[in-house]
Amino acid sequence: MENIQSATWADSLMFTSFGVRIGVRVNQHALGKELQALMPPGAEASTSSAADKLYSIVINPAGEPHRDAALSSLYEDSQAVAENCDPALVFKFLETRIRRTIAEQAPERVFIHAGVVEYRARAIVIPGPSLSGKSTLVSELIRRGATYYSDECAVLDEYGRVHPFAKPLSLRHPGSFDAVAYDVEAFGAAIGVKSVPIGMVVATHYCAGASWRPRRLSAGHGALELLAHCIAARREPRRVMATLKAALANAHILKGARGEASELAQLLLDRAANLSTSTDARPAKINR
Amino acid sequence: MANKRALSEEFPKALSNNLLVEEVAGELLVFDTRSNRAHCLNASAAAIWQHCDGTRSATSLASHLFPKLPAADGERLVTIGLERLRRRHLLEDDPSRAGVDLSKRELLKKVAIIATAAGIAAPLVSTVLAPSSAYALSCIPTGLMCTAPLQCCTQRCIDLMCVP
Repeated sequence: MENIQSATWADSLMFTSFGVRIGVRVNQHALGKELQALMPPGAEASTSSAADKLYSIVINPAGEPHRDAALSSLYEDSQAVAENCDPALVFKFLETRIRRTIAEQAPERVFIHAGVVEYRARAIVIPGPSLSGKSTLVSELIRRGATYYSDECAVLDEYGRVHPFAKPLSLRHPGSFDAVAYDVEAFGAAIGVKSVPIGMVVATHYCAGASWRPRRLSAGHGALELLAHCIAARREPRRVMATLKAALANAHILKGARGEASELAQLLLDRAANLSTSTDARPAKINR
Repeated sequence: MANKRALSEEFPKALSNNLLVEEVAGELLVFDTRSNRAHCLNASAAAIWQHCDGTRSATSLASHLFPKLPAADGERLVTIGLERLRRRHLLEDDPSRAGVDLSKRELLKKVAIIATAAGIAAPLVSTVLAPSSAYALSCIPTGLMCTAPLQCCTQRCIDLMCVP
């Protein structure tokens, strides 16, 4: 079996995304399409030979002794992170791994695991772990006129504004982790192109039969909700905290379990519309 | 066995090492780089914590921070606040101190009533664990079903279940 030392590289790809340089190489030809699909939204191909992180895919051909299908291994720099796996699965895994690397190392952005749409020039950010229903809620929001930003990451700049990270929308069928990727245009929605301030944070998860009775959270507690899903929180806590403070300066933060996304989506958009035309009251401060 | 000191006799001191602090709209966001935990101290808890300089007793803190409250009520608020801060490891540890049983409903209820009547929030400290990067993007969390290791946040799928 080939390994990273003995492999001969047949194809490669270099790109930069949010200031992070990524290299990918593979030991088989005719994988150009799969390689291109690894580039995250907004990434730009690069001619640089230096990478912050280099991924190597070693595919062993089918027909080797005791094997009836090709298997592949993935290396992150020189460390094996997957060995002898289905190549399709390795590419899918690598796609996520690359996004994670960018989210961790982006020098001027803070990535939050969240769904994001824009409505009335403000972002609605829905933080949450995998399988909490972010993508489903995002899909219902964009069906009703919101602009798509991401179903995976809220990308914040130093001023707390949200930038698009518009990968295809991934929706899972009930009971399955395997997601199907959909073009956002299929929902009749537009994709965001410019940064917007956060208007609303909605910390929620699906709970069958639940009614939407949210609590309003303070900015500090809202920061905790976002920090709990922040990829670089451990690596750069100081920068993350400053960014969250800026991001939540004028945000309306709600928390609660939800029932069907289709029922909640319109309520959120109505609330966002009201917020965009009203002045928000802040809780009283304690004297120090 | 030595007697434990009452809270009113101790002089709590806020920890500062390994803590990053950001003021967010009147509350304090505190990140503990040792434990990777982030705390949000509401305005009352923040005021108590920021005045724990090792020279003030709970009684003195109460009279300074809540001058309009009856002394006993102010001290109750401070006592609860100190205990909550201590449990989050935001105060220097004093092994000789007497702990407060926060499970006592009556005390908490009383504190809530005192605070509401005075128009201030009872001291509250909320905490989250900052995620490791492995858990912060799409992957199957531990305990849920999987069909391949690469699907799991931990990259370990045993008997169709993601495991630590």
